[in-house]
Amino acid sequence: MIGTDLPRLRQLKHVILRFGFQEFNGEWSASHKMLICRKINMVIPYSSENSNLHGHRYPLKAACFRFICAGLLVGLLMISQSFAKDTIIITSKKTAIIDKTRGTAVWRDNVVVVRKSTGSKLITDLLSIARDAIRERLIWAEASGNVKAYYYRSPADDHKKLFIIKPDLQPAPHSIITCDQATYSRKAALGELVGSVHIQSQDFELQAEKIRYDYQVERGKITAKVGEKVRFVFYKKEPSDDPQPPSINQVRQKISGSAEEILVNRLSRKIVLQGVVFIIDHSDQSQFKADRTDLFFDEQDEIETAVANGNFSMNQPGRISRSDRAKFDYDREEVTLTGNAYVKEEEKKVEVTSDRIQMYIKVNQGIIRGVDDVPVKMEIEID
Amino acid sequence: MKILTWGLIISLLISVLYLTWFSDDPQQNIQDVGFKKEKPILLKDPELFDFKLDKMTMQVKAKTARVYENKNMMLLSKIDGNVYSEDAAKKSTRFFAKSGRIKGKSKLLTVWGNVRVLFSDGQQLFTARLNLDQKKSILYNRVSVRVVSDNEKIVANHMRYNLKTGILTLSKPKATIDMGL
Repeated sequence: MIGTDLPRLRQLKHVILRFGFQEFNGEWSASHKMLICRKINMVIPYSSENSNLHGHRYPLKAACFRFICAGLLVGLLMISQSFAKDTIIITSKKTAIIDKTRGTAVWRDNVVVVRKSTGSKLITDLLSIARDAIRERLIWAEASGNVKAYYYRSPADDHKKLFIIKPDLQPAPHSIITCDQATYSRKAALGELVGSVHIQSQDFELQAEKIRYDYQVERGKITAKVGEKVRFVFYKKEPSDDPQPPSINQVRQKISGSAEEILVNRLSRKIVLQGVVFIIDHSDQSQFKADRTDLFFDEQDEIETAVANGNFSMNQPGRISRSDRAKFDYDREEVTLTGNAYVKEEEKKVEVTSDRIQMYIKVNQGIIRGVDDVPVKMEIEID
Repeated sequence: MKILTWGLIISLLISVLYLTWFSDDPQQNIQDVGFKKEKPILLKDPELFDFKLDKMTMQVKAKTARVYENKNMMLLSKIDGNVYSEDAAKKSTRFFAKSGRIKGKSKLLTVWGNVRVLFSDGQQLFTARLNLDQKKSILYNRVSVRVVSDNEKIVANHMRYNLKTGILTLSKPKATIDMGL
């Protein structure tokens, strides 16, 4: 190309040459009898002057090319958003001691760890971490002393929820966790919180001495100090005939209580309360005791069903019940007592004994009945 | 009179503090009158080696070296150094700097100007000034540092690195770690 235009180039002092996608700024040097070029940028052929002619000649081809380019650009921008790398920022007021031989690091004094994408934050006195140098990932971590964590779920989820409720509201943390020591092990797939553990979550609240959670099987164990009890707060499901639209001031049906030990099975959405279980239903101030209670949760992390086993006794304003076993169906607002069931309604002066009694949870609805095939002994006191 | 005495004490204290704080400034040392008076021996592309029990512990290459014999001191330019671990299987710790100084008696190497340390694990440290105490086998400084690896960046007020144990201590650190996709 240069060969053919060489006589003309010699007359020019300054030229711009394009070879394929590359653009050069060239100057003819008379003394050296050569063209000295400097690459200035990359160009896409269809935008060049000459290619415009092609554009006119093949308008559909050019339009398709433009469309594909624009599509690719938009696609890239969208993908880059979702595939963007997350960042963790760790600061400490004193030191970070990095052992390069072992691949460990110890951060001391007022350590703050922030996950940038969600805003989740961990504050502690001392943070020890071990990283896999080859895979560049965390394999073990331990936070010791005044551990406080603010956990936010992914912003996308929170944003969706908040937008329905109130578009301009700032998201609150999903959980606030405090404890003396928190440990994470990738190898054992284990997370452990020890010493005055308190979890205040949007879906529950727990106070215990130790929480052990296996990430692989999604099972955990919550225990208290010897002689003490684990305290908890959960929320029960609204009855299906009384669904409330989501609002900021929505009051959820709270259930609180204590037990010696709690077992969590996240996969089957089940929590087992063991050892002198005591539960208060805050909707009607009813209280019940049992040796063990299994709680079954729905997708909104609200209790759908509760099954109390062994020495069940319930105290409600105006009603006393006893049985070997009790099943609460919060969706239908019913409770079924089985095995040596006994119910006494003080106001109506009614006493019922049966092997199986089905009744409404709300005392004022007052309908107590035995199951069809089971005989009911009813004693009514007449003044 | 009291004010005058107190003023004198305070000014004395300030001058003592000033002197102790800035006495280690290598750039200031270069401008010392002593250096100007003494004519150094100029070496081009020198290579310095340090041995311990027949084992090389340090190797320093430089563009030039000015040897001040009376002061028992050497000024280096364009430094490329290697500190070898006692464990032969381990990689060496490499460092680069614009200028440097070796004090003969104390075996203290001080480097300054675009200092870069390349650790055996591939992590790099950038700073303005760094000291290498060969006797204690430690790298240390009192100025801000930046430690960089593929997915991690740490900034800190100052550092101390034990070449024997491979332990890096950073003061008031702030780390930014990129997590995987």
